[in-house]
Parts: sequence; C-alpha cells; structure tokens
Amino acid sequence: MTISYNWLSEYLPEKLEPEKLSKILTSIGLEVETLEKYEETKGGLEGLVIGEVLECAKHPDADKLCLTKVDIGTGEPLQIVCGAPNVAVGQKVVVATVGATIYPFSGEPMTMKKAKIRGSESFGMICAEDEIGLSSNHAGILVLPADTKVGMPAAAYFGTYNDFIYEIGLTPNRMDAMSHLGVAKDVCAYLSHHNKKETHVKSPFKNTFKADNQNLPIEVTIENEVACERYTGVSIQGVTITESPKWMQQKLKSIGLRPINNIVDITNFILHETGQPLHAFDADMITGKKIIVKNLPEGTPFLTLDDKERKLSAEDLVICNAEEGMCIAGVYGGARSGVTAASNNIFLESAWFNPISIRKTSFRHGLRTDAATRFEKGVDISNTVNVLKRAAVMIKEIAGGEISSDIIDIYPEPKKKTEVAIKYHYLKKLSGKNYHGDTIKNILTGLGFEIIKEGQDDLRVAVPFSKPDISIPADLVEEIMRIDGLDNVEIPAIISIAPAVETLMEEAAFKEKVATYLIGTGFNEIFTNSITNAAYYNESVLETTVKMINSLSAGLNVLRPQMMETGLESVAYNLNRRNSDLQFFEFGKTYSTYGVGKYQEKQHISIYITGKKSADGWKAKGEKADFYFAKAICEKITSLLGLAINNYALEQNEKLDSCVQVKVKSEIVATIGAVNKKALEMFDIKQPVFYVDIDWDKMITLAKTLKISYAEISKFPAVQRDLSIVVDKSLKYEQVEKATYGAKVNKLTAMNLFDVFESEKLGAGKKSMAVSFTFLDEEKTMTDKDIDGMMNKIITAYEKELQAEIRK
Amino acid sequence: MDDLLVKINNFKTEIKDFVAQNSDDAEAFRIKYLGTKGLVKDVMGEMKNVAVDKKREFGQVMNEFKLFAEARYEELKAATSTATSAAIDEADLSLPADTLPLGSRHPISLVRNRIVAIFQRLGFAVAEGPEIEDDWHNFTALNLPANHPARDMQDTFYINQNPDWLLRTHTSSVQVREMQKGKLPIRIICPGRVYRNETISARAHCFFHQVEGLYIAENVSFADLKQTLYFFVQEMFGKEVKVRFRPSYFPFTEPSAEMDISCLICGGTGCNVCKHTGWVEILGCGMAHPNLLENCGIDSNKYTGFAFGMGVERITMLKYQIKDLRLFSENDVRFLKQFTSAV
Repeated sequence: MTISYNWLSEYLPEKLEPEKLSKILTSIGLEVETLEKYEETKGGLEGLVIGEVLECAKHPDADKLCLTKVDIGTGEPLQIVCGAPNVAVGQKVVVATVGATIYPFSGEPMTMKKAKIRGSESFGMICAEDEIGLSSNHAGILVLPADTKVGMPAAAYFGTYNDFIYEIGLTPNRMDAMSHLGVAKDVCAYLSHHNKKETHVKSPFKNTFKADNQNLPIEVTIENEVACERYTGVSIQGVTITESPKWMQQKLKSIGLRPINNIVDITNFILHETGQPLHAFDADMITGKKIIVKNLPEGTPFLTLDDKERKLSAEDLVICNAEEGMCIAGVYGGARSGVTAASNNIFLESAWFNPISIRKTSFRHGLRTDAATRFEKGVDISNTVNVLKRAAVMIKEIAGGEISSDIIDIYPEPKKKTEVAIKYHYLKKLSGKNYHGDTIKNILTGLGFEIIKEGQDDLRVAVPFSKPDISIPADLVEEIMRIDGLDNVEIPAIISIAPAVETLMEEAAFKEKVATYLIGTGFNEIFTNSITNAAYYNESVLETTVKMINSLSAGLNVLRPQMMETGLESVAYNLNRRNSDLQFFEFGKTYSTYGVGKYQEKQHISIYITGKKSADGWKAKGEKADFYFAKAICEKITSLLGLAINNYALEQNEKLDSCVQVKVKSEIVATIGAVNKKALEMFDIKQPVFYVDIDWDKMITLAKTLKISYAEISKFPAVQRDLSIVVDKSLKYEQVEKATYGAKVNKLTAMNLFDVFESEKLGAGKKSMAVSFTFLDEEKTMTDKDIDGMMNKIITAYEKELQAEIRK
Repeated sequence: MDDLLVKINNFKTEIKDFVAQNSDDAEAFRIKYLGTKGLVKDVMGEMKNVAVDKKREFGQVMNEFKLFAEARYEELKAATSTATSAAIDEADLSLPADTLPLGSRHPISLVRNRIVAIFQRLGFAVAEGPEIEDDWHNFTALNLPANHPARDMQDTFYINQNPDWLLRTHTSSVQVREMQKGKLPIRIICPGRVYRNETISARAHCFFHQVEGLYIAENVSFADLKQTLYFFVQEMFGKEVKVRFRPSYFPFTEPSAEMDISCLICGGTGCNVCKHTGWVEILGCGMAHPNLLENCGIDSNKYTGFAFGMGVERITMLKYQIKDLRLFSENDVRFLKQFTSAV
C-alpha cells in the first residue's frame, strides 16, 4: 500500500520528520518497506534557471541553428547554440546550465556538458517543455512571460511538488489502515501512548453537508440484505466534468494514480483518504430513478466498464436500475451507467458489501480492483454516511452543481459492535510484560475501542467497526503490545525450558557420518528439485507417480518417483560448462501413490560419478572412475553403517547397464550401475556416468539394530599366504569366494584378489587369478605346517570346484 | 700402564677395521665390544690397577675409547639397517602435492544443520513429517479455513481435490501433527522441504527449506519467544548483531511478529541488500493462536506457546551474500566448491 507523507501529515496534529514517522509506522506493524523521495517533476528542475535571450544570430555553419547569448543573472551571459525555430531576442526562457541533469518527458536523463556544436561552443541548453519533463509539449522552446525574473531557479518559478512516499507491506488483518486517515489514527494512538498526551487526528469530516433541494430523489431497495448490509447514496445535479484541481492531482499522482476527471478523482481521493470505496453513477442513466441491490439470473450478460461482455453468476450482487444492471456491486462499474465527460447529474454510492460475496465475485471475474480488495477485507460500516457527506460537499465545491437529495441511507439491521473482554493476568501471561491498567485503557481507547465495563483484573471493550478482525482476547493483546512496542518487552536473563528428548539423533548422526566420508572422498553434495518432468518416466512408473493438478509448467508436473533423473540434470548442467570430472551425492526423497490419501515418501542417497576420480598429477595421470569405484563407495557407506553386504545380484534395469543389486541380510539396500545410453541421451550426456541409489530408510533400519561390543584383540600374529590359479576365463570371482568358504577353513579371516590377467602362455580361454589369504589363530602362533594344511584344503577345493590349475 | 695404552690402541684399530655385512654383524660388534661382558667393559675394569696420580689421565683415555666404540656401532648399525627413510635425494620439494580430491557440503545443509544445532542447545528436539499433506494439517488446523484471504499468501500445489491433498507450504503441518499427539509440553523444531506454486526466478522457487519451532507449556510468553530468538541470532550471526521485533500477521499466531536483524552487509547504515532500511527480515513468529491450540485438542486456557519459522535459503543467502535462489538447485560445481571450507 502506498502512503504519501504530505497527505498523511495533513491528519496529524504535530509535524513528524519522514524518517521518524517511518520508524513509528514499522514499530506499530505498518512495515515501511521503502521510503522514497517523490518529485512531481523528476530531478526537481535542479540546475535550471530563468534566463533572457540577449542576442540571437544565425549559426555561421548551420542553417537551422542559432547562436545566442543568454543572461542568467550571473553578470556574464552564456553562449548557447539553440535549434528551436521560435527562439528570439528578449524572450524569457528556461536554461539548463552545464552540470545540470534534465529528465525528459520520455527517454533517458541527460547531464549538460560544455559542447562544441558545428564549431561553436555552447554552455547549456534552452529548454522545451518536454525536455525537462514538464509535459509532452515539444513545440519549440518554452517562452515565459516577459516579467519573469532573470536568474530565478526554475524550481521556484514552476513550484515543483515534492513528497516522500512510503511503501507499506500491509498485513491482511489491518483493513483499518488501508487509507491515509486509518494510518493517521494508528500513529495518533502511538503518540498518545508514548508522549503521555492524548492525540487525535485532524478529522476531515466537517458538519457542512446540506441538501440544496430535493429535485433528484432516488429510491433505493436492498433485495439481498446478506450481501449488502448498508447502502447510502446522494444525488447531485448540474456538475461540470473537467480536470480536478492541481492539489488533488498532485496527491493522486504521488501515490501512483492517474488523474481522470474531477468526479472520478474525488471518489479516488476519498477512497485513499478514508478507505471507503465510492461509486459515481450518471444519474440520468438510473432508469425509473430506482436503485435495486439484488442478484440477477445466472448467465445474465453485462457490459462492464472495459467494454467486455461478462456473464453474471446468480451469486454476483448487482446494483440495478428499474430495468437492468448498472454495476457489479463493489467490484466493477458498467459501461453505460458510469460518469462520462458529458455527465451532468450524478448519483454517489457509499455502501457496505459482504466480504465473502465480494471476494468470490472478484475472483470469479478476475477483477481485482481497489474497491474489491477493500470490501473483501471489510470496510467501516458505521462510516458510510460521513464519507458520503464529505464527498458530496467536495464535489459541490470542485465540480459545482447542487446537492439534490438528502442522504439516502438504507441500513435494515444496524450492526452491533463486537465486545471482547481481556483479563490483565492473561495479558501478562501472554506478553511477559506487566502493563499498568491505565496504560491498557489508554491504548485501547486511543485505538477507538469503547470501554464497556471495567473490573479489578479485566476490561470489556467494544471493537470499532473499522477493525472487523478483532474478536478474541489475544487480538487485544496484540493491539496493546504493538502500540507499546514489541521491543519494549524485556528479555529475561534466565531461560526456562521443558526439555524434549531427541529421537532422531542417531539417524542424523549416520547421515552426517556418511556425508563427511563422501566429502573426504571428493564428492560434492547437491540439492535437486523434487518436482520434475513426467516425460522422464515410463507408463508403469507413472501409474504410481504423484502428479500435480496445478503445475508450474509441463516440465515440472510430478513429484519424482526415482532419484536419478534430477541429479542427471545437474550432471548435464556441469558437463555443458566443461566441468567433466564430477562426483555428486544427494540426500533426497522419492514419492509414490497407491490411491488418494495413500502416499509414500522414501529417503535415498543418490550418487553420481563421471570422469576422473582425481585430477592429473605429475606422478600419475588421474584415473577414470569405473563401476568398481562406484561399488567401493557403496561398500564403504554400508560399512559406515556397520552392515555387511552378503550378496550382489545381477539385475536387468531399464536405465542402468552392468547393474547389480546390493543385499544386506537378503534385503536390497542399494543398486549400482552405469547409466545406459538411452537415459544419457535424454540429458544429452556424452560420457559414462556411474550411479548408485541407496535405500536410506532400509539401511538405517538395519543399522539401528546393531550393537557394537568390543572383541579382544588376538595376541598372536596373523599370517598371509598367496596363491595363483589358472581357471576358465568365464569363471566369476564370486565362484572363487564360494569355493573358498566351502573349504571350511575356520582360521581364514580374509581373502583378497590382487591380480587378474590373461596371456597366451596360459592358453586360450584361460585367465590367472592371484589371491592372498590371511590366517589367524586366537590360541597360538601357527606353524608352517598348520598353514600348509589349510592352504591344501583350499587348493583341493579350487581344483575340484573350479577345475583350477595351481601356478607355482 | 703402557700395556694398557697399547691394548686400547689395538682395539681401536680393530674397531675401525671391523666390517659388517648386515645387521647381524653389527649386532655381533655390539655384543663383542659394548655388551655387558664386552671388551670395553673389560678395559674399563683395568682402571682399578691404575696408579692414583694417573687415574685422571687414564679416565679420559678410557672414556674416549668408550665413545669411539659407541660411535662406530652407530655407524655400523646405520649402514646395515634395512629401515628406509622417506627422504628423497636432491628432490624438488616444491613440486605440487598429490592431487587428492576434496568434496563439499551443500550450503543449505550446512546452514540447516547450524540452525538445528543452535535450537538443540536450547533443548528443542527435531520432528519430521510428510511433504504430501492433507488440507486440514496444512491449512484448516492452522486457523486458515477455506476462503480465508490469507490462503492467497501461499500459492499451493494441489495433487488432489475433494478431498484436498497438497504439497505442504510450510512445516507448520508437522507442528500440528505433534500437537495432535497430545503429549505436553512440546518443544520441537521442524526442518524440512516445502513447496509454493511460484514462478522460478532469482527471488522465488517452487521448493525451498524451512525450520519452524514450537514451544507449548504452561505460562510461555512473548518474552520467552524473544529470548529464544535473540539467543539464536547471536549464535547464528554473532554477538554484535542487533535485533528488532515488529508486529505482523500470521493466521496461526496472535500476537504475531517478524524479527529483523541489523543488515550484515552495511551494519545498519543502509545499503541495497537492506533496501536502505538498515534491517533485514529473517523470520516470522508469534504466540500460538488459541484457535490453533483448540483445533489440535489443547486447552488454550491452560497452555500458551510460541512458534517461529524461517527459510533456510534466506538465511543462507544472507550469510553468504548469495543473490540468486536458483544457484541452490543448479548445483554448478563452481558454486558448490566455494563452500569447501564452510562449517
């Protein structure tokens, strides 16, 4: 909401500096988002002075230019080159001197410099109206009356209008402050409390209304008393539609409104002064001199002010004459009934419409007008008459004419004020501050509350109609606290708490541990949008995907059913910017649905690896990451959670090649693979990407079941033995592992594959594998004989199970 | 006496010429000369036969002999040692270090964790809840009935209508779920991802993260709220930061307030970041609205409470002077790596 400092100040009994006022406004809950200087003429005509043309000769080198000497009162006339055809000796003109910045009516501002124009020096410019932003007029230079004083600042001559403008972030509960007068009332409540002196607004409502005659009575009937609880009107005959006075135009312009004509400007002025929307009808269009406030049948066509034909809903409230609708009540006027330049007689409406009804109509037709936004928050129902009287008197003063009816006021069921009681101890309990009883009363009365009953520890007040949002004691607490100032609530020195037991500590710690490990290994954590593109997924996935009804765009229309795609977007983003070695991880959720109200959210860690594991160095080139690196990362994370992988199962995957499922206690906890060609192409990625998807929920559940208990460290040394075998090329390492464990050597504590190769020497279809074994006996130091015995068991198993040949 | 001197000189020659092929030889040398029954000890034993007036002179000779033998042993030991030092002969130690990779935590994680840690210090426990919510938990329970104008404040993504299911617009829904459990007092913080149907730009995104807090007990006041949040600001931004509270409006709190801190960039004198006001808004807060408490089955006559909520992205942007929200989800490594050293 825009508030003018000058305008606001007119209602305040004492002058406050703009900055000081700004602080007050923010402290009482009318947050000043910006405070800006306003100049009706941009730049304030600074550096522009009145001069007299002393000489005017043809420019020696240009037909259309003149060489002038202009006196600007400094005693030393300036030489200025001028291109205007109307320049002549003796003229009083506006001169922009060197250094002045001019703000043209259209186009960029320009700073005057000493210039050479066709070989002649020029010290400034003789200005046209549009060049200094006074108007759009470009008919030659501006010539002022002959008696204008030379050397006078142009700003003093034109009397530019300056102001300060507050942009206030008005919260939806503050309908009482949706006008200059409303804001002024709040400021006065603040001043009363803080200066300990009763302060009231300078009210614009004077008791000067008087009907001149009864020549134009209008009969008003309210058919829908729920949607319209009060309708007030008056008619004025013989007005002259013209421009509104300068002071009013200046005020309207300062808050960003375009002046239209005196009648429209007055209704706008009153709206921003009091918060009460008014509507002016051309009284000659009120057929039958009757106004009926009612609903019209569903689908009734209605031509609105913007010349669009709209179909009315049966729920839209309409202001009708004896024959047809004239105006969508409180929302938007009709094309035929409004005031035009030709209007002579008018009827002015000041009403109270039901907020919910207005809101629905306003949204239904997409008409979010100034009037609608006020009605839907609730205007002051007690004030329609006062406002109307002020407007009528103002119209008579400004636009002439005669007030031709009494105030017509239809108010079938006068509203009662809401009453709220507040207990002082409740105020203290909620605020933490001990307010004095007198303070409470003074603040509330200062805000327009009426004291109904006063007790030892409580107060009953009637809420002013301008504050429909106030209905419970906590609302009064807020009113008192905001006027006193939230910063005036003291912060206690001792903190008292009811401690809560943290139940998610362990899970959070595991998360941190995994994150720290990955970062140490070179991974960057990423955050991707969980809203993504349905086109990434196939039909069967989409069956259980959560889709949005109102999506931002076609590309952001579902919640991700899988992690991979949103991360690949980030991989592609970086590859496109020539960062080709990437290691990313994300903690994120996937979403699925099994019917309305049945939604599932699952936590994952997704890991993306592409390019080199580390940069090239002088000792070694950086190694390209591969499947086994991804596998290692997955294994380490599993180890960090204290879990042992008991199986890798090959898996056919729609989006991954070389895909395995990782199992812990026969539950699938992760999937590892290389993103396949089709999936890469979707993101225009041209290099291999390895992907690990970890089911975090499952991992964490398994991890939570673990208890660590210390095991005695063996006093005897472990012994290592190596063995090379030649086997069929197709033999898998897991078969070697299986054969080893099948040999049942219970002192064997670890095995490690340290070499695999093929060569001609081994023969076609063969390969060599070298494995080292670690043996440990907790009871004694093992002898060579002991170890040989165990190795033989393994060798026998290999020969039998793997048809292995032992290399010597 | 001279015999002894000759003997010592002979031993010295022998020692000087001793050849050790390996560490075993060096050990044999030690046993022979320096062992408990070694020759050096023998020679030293002769001291008792030396005349009193010569003792001083001989003492020096013998000591020198002992040091000579010990030095030779160290030499032999070093020469035959199989231990290897990492020293590199004539190396260029200015060559670059190995190219070990180093990753980074996302700034949103860092700041989220910092916020959570501060409140945990004040005895708040973390509570989490679903991102897909029903209308009641996200709106109605929070004193935002249908057709309430304040619903306009939050553009919502719907996934079903009648019954209404939506993406939560704030983590207040988690607070509602905790209150419904009926175990009082409640002292929780709710970090999590939330969604708004807003066009993506430098200043708005369709998803972001919040941390909200709730404390409900008997006799919780606005002064307590100020105290908690003041503590938070000091821990988060430093002791010199100033705080102001100003009245505001949220449907689920009454009274409501917003908390501003003195601008971190200009220190309060006014700059572009604070729109020349010297203050930047960091969170919204207030006293739990009686309707909210009653909606969740809590006796609002007995209990009072405070609630607050902040955007993690906003705090992160302030802390690191980031001006575009989109950077957080673009995941440009040149952005991410800037937080390698952040804590």
